[in-house]
Amino acid sequence: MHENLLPKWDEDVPEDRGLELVADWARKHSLWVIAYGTGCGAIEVPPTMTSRYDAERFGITMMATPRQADVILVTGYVTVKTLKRIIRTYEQMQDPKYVIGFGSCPINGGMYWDSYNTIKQLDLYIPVDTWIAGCMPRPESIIQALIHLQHKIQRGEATGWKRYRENLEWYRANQRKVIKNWNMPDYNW
Amino acid sequence: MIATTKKTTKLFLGPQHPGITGNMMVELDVQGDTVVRARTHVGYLHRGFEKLMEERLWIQCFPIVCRICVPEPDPNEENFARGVEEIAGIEIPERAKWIRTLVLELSRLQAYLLWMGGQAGSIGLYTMPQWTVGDRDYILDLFEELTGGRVYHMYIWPGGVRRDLPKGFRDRVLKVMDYLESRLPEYDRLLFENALFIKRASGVGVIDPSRAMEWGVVGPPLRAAGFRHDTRIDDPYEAYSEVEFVVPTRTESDVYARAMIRRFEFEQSISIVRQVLDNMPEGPVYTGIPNPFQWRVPPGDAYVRTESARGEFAYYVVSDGSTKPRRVHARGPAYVHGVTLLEHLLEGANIADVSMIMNSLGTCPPEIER
Amino acid sequence: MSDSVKTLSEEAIAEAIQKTFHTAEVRVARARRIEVKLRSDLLPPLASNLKHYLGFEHLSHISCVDWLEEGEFELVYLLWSYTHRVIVAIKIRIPRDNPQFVTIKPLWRHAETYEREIHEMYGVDFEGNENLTPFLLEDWDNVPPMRRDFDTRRYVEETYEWRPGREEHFVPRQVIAETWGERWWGDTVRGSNEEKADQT
Repeated sequence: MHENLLPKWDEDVPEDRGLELVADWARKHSLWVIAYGTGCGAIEVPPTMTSRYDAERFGITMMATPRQADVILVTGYVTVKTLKRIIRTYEQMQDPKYVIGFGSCPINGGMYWDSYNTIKQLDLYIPVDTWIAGCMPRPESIIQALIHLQHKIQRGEATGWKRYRENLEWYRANQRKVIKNWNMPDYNW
Repeated sequence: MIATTKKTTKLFLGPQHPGITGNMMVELDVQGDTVVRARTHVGYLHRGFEKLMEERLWIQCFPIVCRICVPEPDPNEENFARGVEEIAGIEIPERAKWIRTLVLELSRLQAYLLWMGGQAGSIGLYTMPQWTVGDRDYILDLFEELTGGRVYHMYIWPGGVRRDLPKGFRDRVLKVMDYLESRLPEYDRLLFENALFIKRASGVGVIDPSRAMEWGVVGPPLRAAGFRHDTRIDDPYEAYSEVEFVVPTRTESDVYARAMIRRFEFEQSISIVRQVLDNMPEGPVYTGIPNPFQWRVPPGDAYVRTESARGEFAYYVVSDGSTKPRRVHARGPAYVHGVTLLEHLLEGANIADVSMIMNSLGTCPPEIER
Repeated sequence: MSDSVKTLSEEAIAEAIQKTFHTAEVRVARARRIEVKLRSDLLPPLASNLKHYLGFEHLSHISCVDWLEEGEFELVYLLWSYTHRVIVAIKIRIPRDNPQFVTIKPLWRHAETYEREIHEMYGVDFEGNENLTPFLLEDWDNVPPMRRDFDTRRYVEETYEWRPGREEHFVPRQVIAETWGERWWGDTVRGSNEEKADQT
């Protein structure tokens, strides 16, 4: 049973996807994380990126602007005010882009389950590729999640950005339900 | 004098920015490179803690209290515990007080190390975060051994602390303290005696000492303005009246003075940890509380304060005699520094100095907004 | 660490306040704590008196407690004196249905933030504070959330959706025991030899 928890190293070369395979291999080895600490979990990101746990050996580093980043780490709870900015940042990132939901708060509200200001499920509003459980996750969990994301990219399964494009109306309807003052630009890719 | 007839540009140092300390926005009106007016926008991290605490039992509040301030959770736990103990009249054992002092000082050390990384990162010196965040991890390892969690400990609760120190803990703490002391000369060479940092930080973000009280300044910025005030000495709590340490002051009240105050207090904290470990009495660590599900704290209120790494952290706890709190109001030092004082200090500053001033005040958005 | 000499004791300060403000109820709660219950219109003169004449330079906190049963808000002003090392907690009550009060921003500039938050969370209008703009909440059009008649759980159920729970039909301890090949206390493991033995 516990073998399900470990990544499968030899299943990363599925059906023939041609040049996409090479492109995905390049993408997974240079994931740039956008510098946005949206919640509590951002306190465990500096230890992951610095010398002790050193995520940079996997090609992962911080990047300042959304236009140049690949991954947005939603580190912890998301208030309605932050959700508006996360959506704007996510829509500014270039395809293909990935989202990692960090901690138990984006999964089901976490310990703020009865708070009037935090959202309870993150993937109603933006598509999430990987979840990390914990409150808060250790740097080793963060690195395991990033490697899990790398395997998903290699297998061609990290397609959250395609899902967002195709189901944009559904995501927009959910977003408009919680964000009252809607003055966001249209999404054009 | 800044000419007021020219047009100003609006810059949003927004929530997504590598230079700001956390998730808040600073809206700047700039002319050229100088900031004319600044407005802080907070609320990106507001979870409504105080409303949540009114819906939970007294003992259910204690695990969530540490998440009010993310970089330094222990003063929150200790304040809440002490506030409840004061209202309910619970006396905790001596050993619990000394262990709480040890935990608070270790928490202060790791917060100072994180601050050093942030301050250096704000001026572009990225080697310093690599060193200090790496060294801070040794303290987090100690916390993990003692309490089970690296960042959120949930260890100090009303009645004492949850469990006693593990075997051999004292030697491991002393080893980490020796290591940190051996690293201080390296930090000095890299940051505190670095000619570039001195030139960059002197004369920037000056708080006028004659108006410091009017702006409500607390903590290291107040000591950098020349006032020898520290809550550990003014309003002593836990075991602080039995340890000896020096409270530093400086007179220039700029970014460099605040940095040197924190550097000096870092050494003082190491000395306090050593004193606590030498003088800790034996005994129990926990006086029981009544059945937590039916614990009714008698009516009353308490105002407790502790000195965190950034300043005076205060809790106002009100009980009306029921099983749930009537009001728990947490006020962190960044509440005072990060909103009105920051807007005042940024007027006339360069855009490049905004991040440096924010880091030197110790702006921490989660405790502004809870 | 030697104490700095305290200039006035708590009893002396309490007496000074009582003599100047006859209708106030002053009591020394414990060492370094004085509590004053005051008529609401007397707060600005008392705060000013404490700041300028008695050396209470530091405004530590302004808080608000909602006493829904009594129909009042209680505003608590906490002042600290660095010279005497005493906190004075001034408590005033204002009516709940039309809560209005005056600002003490001219005495302390950072009172603006406390009053802004109490305005947003409780709906108290502070006359004289020009910056009562939204502070923590964005586009909030409901009852001020810290009031006790705002039910946060009902609001959450109406606005947000819960993630459906996990549905399982197995016993976790049994799964763990089977994975690691150990005996499992409690009921007999389903499908094991012991169960078959029990049935015969």
